[in-house]
Amino acid sequence: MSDKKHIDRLFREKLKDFEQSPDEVVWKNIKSKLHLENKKERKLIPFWFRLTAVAAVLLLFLGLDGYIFNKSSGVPNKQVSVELNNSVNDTIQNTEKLILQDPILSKKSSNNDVSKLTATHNDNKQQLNTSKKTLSTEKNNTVETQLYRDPSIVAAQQSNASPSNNHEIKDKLTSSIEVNSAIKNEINAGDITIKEFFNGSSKKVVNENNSSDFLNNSLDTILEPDNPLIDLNEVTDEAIVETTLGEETSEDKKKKKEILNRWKIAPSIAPVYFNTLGTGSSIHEQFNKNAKTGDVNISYGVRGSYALNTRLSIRSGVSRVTLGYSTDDVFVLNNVTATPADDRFLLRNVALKEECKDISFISVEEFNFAQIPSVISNQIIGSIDQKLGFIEIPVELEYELSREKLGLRVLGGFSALFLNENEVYSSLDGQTLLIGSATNINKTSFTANFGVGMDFRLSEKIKLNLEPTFKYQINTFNNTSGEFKPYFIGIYSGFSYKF
Amino acid sequence: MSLDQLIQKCKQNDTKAQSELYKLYSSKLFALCLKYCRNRVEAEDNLQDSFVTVFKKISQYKYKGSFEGWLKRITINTALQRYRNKGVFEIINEEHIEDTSIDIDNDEVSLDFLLAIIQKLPDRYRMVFNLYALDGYSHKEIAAMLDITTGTTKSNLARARMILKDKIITYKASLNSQLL
Repeated sequence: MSDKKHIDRLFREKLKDFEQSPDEVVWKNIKSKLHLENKKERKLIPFWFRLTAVAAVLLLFLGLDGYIFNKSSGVPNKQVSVELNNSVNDTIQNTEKLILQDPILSKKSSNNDVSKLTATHNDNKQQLNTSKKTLSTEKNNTVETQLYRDPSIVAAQQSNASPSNNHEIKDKLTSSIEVNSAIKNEINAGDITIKEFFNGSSKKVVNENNSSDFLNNSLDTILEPDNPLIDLNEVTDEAIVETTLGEETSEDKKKKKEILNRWKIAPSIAPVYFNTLGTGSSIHEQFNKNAKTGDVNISYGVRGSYALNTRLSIRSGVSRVTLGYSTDDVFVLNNVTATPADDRFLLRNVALKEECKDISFISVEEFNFAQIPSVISNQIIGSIDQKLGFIEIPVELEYELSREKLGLRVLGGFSALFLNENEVYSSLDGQTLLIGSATNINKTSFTANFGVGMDFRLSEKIKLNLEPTFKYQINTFNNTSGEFKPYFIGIYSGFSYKF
Repeated sequence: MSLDQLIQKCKQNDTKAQSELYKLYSSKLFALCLKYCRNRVEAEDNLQDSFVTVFKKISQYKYKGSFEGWLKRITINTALQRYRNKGVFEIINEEHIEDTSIDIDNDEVSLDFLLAIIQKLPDRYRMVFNLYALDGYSHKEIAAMLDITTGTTKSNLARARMILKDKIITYKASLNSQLL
């Protein structure tokens, strides 16, 4: 039985208790989105608190403040590019506003930046506006209404539009931009008035829909998506959904990038060269003037870095570093208790092993060289080699100077060194003997680090690094004599991976 | 657990509570999304965005007014945002508005059909029709929400009704011809 009822009522009654459960994937997406945001909030804040103090000290120490203020120049750059971007959007949008109600474009146009921009691009805009106005009035008054009344054209338009896909929309965008520039040219040339221009071409659209004339085609494109009666929405639904989705996912990706790209991990390996500035000895004052030879050892480890902003990042990690050096020109005398078994010559900074107690080490400097025949001297003059191993935990700031394919950075900071290997050898005539361990090495010590880094970008995520770094040891040794100022230089190389 | 307790837990970012809340309201709100969006995919997207907003802003819910109403408003606003600036400009002459009553029995048309023809309406028509006819907003409220005049909302509504009526009539006719 049917009865007459208001259409609203029909829908209301029918849809009153309408419920439908969404796909399970929706909840999963919500969860992951929420998770991502929580993580961002939770992780960043404590990290900041902890590192702010360290960063502040390091900044002062490195005198990097100049760089940091310079860094702000990076931000305006960005804005300029955004503005330029928007200006492009704006330009497109002025012509497209009525043409294609693109969600993204219109969103962007609602941005305040755009309004600022309008001033700078006034010239363009005015021209565009004129063309737009003409376009819209022409369209609305003549073409549209005619199209509305002419179902065959609507159908033709529809069939034209039906294979629409993203590409076509893009093509249309570009082609309509072309039209726009064509319009501009026309205005500039002043040959044909805009009205004539569009009158002519709009008539063509209506009258000879299939004409291959460029203007006609382009106007066609302009008109087509605009006409509500054609209901392009229906036809290009899929396409629009796709573009919308596409844009959104790319936006999401960008967001993710912003969040995750801050983290970088870089395993590295380096030859390290240890030596001392000034003349002094960590072993005994008698060796102050002896020649010292630095050893080249290996340091390896991994470090992670967190970008504080586009240029400045803070990094830390853990690495194993071995250092060694030899004190040359040392008489190594075995079982010679009679010879100058003086307190003067006891290695006060070395705890000798039991079986080595009898060995005496005397600097060549203490003797008059002329007294010793060279044949003997070759066999009794050796060196004392000290070998130290540390676990190094650096905290460094890194400032990017250049971010081209070949990047350049400066870095500075501190390292904490935790002693885990401490050996002293005597080396004579090619033979090495472990004689004990040094007693004057701090279990924990620090270095001040300075370095330059170069990197070569292999891909978006992977870079090859080379970082010559100078590390000045602040309190590794106690009780040194003379001016013993140890340092080491490492040429750190490796690759870094950006998340 | 009472609803207030559940909300309280959601305010503390309790994942379990969030899941509970989602289970409680997702079907209702998804139906709402289906009405306001063009299709299922967009409706799911809209539901997702709405719930993310809900959980992010739940601390701003001060127990004034019904919670379901609050959820619905967020969902509707999300949809409006999605289709903002996608309105149609055509204004029809009020005099041409035909009779909007229709000779039909509730059982003659399926819910799915009605939903489908709502979804196929141009965006602005769909918004206005939903807001006015199904969710009881006034023209004044709708005009404010969509940032248009009440004249426009009225003409949009009239136009939407006409389209819907036409489609129902065509549908009925095709059913009848099948029967014959």
